Amino acid sequence: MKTFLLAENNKIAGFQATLPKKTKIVGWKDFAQSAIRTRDESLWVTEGLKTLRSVFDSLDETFFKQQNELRKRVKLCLIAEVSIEGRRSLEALFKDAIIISQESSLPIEQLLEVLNSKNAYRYVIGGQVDQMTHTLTLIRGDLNAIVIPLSTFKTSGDSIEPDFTNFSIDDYGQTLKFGGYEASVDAVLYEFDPFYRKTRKAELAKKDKSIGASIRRLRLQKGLRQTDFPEIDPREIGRIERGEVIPRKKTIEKIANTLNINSTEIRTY
Amino acid sequence: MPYELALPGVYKGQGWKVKIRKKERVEPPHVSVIKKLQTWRWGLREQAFLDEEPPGKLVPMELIKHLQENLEILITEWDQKYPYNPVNSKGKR
Repeated sequence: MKTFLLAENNKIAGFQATLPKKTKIVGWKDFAQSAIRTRDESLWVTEGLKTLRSVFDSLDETFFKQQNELRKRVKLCLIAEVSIEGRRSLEALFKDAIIISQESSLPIEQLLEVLNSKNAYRYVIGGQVDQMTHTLTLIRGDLNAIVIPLSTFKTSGDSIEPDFTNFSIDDYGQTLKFGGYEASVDAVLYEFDPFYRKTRKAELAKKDKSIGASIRRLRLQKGLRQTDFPEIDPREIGRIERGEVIPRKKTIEKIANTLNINSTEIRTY
Repeated sequence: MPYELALPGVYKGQGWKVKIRKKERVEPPHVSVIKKLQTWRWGLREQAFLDEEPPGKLVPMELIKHLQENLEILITEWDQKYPYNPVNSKGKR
């Protein structure tokens, strides 16, 4: 997905000096043409309502006649306070309209770093505390949302309580702040987001150089189950794969035999 | 307040931060060394990086030395925040 910063025309030069080099900055006058011309999925980020108002003031009917095309591939990330009516219009017009209040958004330069990162799902770009449902809705860098119960943010050992009326995000989307209380985004997502947990575990497993991890990768690659190894208890295979025990040479040879591979090659997988 | 270790000016200027936050993945005890999109977990028991990624060699040696010099303060801060998982509970100090 291509990411663009939508800016006031007279601010483009200023942004170019401070933002990540790969950020493409487009002035509001060129939005309509660029959005429709970009054939891939695109995300347009803009801060405040002024730029967006300028865009809409400049649009003619031709643009609205192509709104089906917009809905197929154009996403908007708007950092501003927006009325319910405004929100509805934007949600109807774009494939996705992510609206984040200025108070609980990352600073724009950090937000663009996250959106351009290949592991954007690991970070949080915005969020909102809802006192009615006692939840915190977080928007991850891959634009998916996750709801967290406020009860998870417990008073710490040094008696600091989270102040849910004072929520912000820091450290490039890696820290949640509730007044003087800080929580690690990694800890929160790991606990509540099955996608995050699964992806992180898979990434770690890929990098695991132990013999157990190699056996597991090979077994899965060959479509075998832990019960498919004659003469070896499946629980033993599980323990080996988890690194709880180091297999003997004879066991490695039996495993290699089933995997149809030379025992000395296992570690290369 | 969250604990943030004061860093020498050069590292602060480069965007490095060392924090113990209130809600972390608690075991094992560690500080978070943060720079831009990356976070390293530096173990207070092991005095070493806990994860293979991101590579520990990306953190300047002088900064690691600063962590070691301030180890006692960091341990005290961790123990205050996580009294049920203190650094010395496994007798590794």
